[in-house]
Amino acid sequence: MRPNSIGLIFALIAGAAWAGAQQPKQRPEKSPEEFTRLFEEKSAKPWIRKGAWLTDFDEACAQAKKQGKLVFAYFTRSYAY
Amino acid sequence: MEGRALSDDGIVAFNATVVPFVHITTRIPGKKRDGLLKEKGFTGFPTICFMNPQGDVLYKIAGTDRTLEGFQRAKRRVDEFLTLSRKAAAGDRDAAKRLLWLRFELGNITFADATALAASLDLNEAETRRCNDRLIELLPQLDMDEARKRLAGLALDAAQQQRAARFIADIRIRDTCRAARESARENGQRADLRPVFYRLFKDGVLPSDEPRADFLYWSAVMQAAEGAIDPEAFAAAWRKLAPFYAKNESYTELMRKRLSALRAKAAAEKR
Repeated sequence: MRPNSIGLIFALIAGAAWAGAQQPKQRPEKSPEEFTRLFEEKSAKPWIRKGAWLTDFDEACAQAKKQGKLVFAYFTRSYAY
Repeated sequence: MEGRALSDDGIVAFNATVVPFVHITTRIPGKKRDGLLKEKGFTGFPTICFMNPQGDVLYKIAGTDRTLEGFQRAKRRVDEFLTLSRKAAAGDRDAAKRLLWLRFELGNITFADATALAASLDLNEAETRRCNDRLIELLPQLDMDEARKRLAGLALDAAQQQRAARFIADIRIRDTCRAARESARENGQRADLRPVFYRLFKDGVLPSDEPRADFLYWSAVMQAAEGAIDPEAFAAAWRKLAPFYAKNESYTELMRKRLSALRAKAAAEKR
């Protein structure tokens, strides 16, 4: 990908993010079923299994204590507008 | 990041050295721990950090370091933090001093803890100055009254006082923005921050722009300036935003044209 293309994509993303944060508009609310479907879809992503990511915070902390390791926490979301 | 760093073949070996945990905010009503991101003091996605087994955040990895190499670098810093913490707890004063600097760097220290730790370390003049430089950066952790009170207790030189004033402005901007958002929410709306930031700009309340320009503030000022036919404000905002678009010649050219058009419009209005 050429640097100009990367810059353009960044500009579009930044612009969209800014506009999304600023425009006084109402977002259509999704149903609980839709949020659940999106979560299940996200949870099934290959990288989660590949990296052996835990999804239960209490279990992650307990494992870290037991193994004397750090928790490496990644926060993401399954919903999007 | 999910398509790159987190899918990298090397992530498997790296994750074996830590306990990898992914939190997915779902917005599913009643879902257990759905608010963990906020609970840990974070505000945006994605966020990636190291925590101790108690769940305390030790280091949030910067956006520019969200690569496998960045994760490895960050882990080395956190491991160093843990080693220094153990030594300091055992009474090693040199380690305690190094720990203070490292905690400033990692951003895992509160203003109150930093001042208490510094007071216990018998810092020399140069170290006190260095410490105050870092304490100034922690001011936005506090509310305005507390920040002003804490600031009054620091022995700052003129340059540091000027810098501290810019961080105080950050608090004012944050609080004004928060109030506008709350007010809009009460009315069932989303806040339009453009006039809010523009008014602050016109009142001379400018962000510290540390460690980088406040993108949201300057974007808002730029857009509001266009509506207000205020080419000077537009130009000031674009000067701050231009580095974000340094590699995007077409967007930069577009902004130049918009500025020229705005100047022409302002001149025409004067006539």
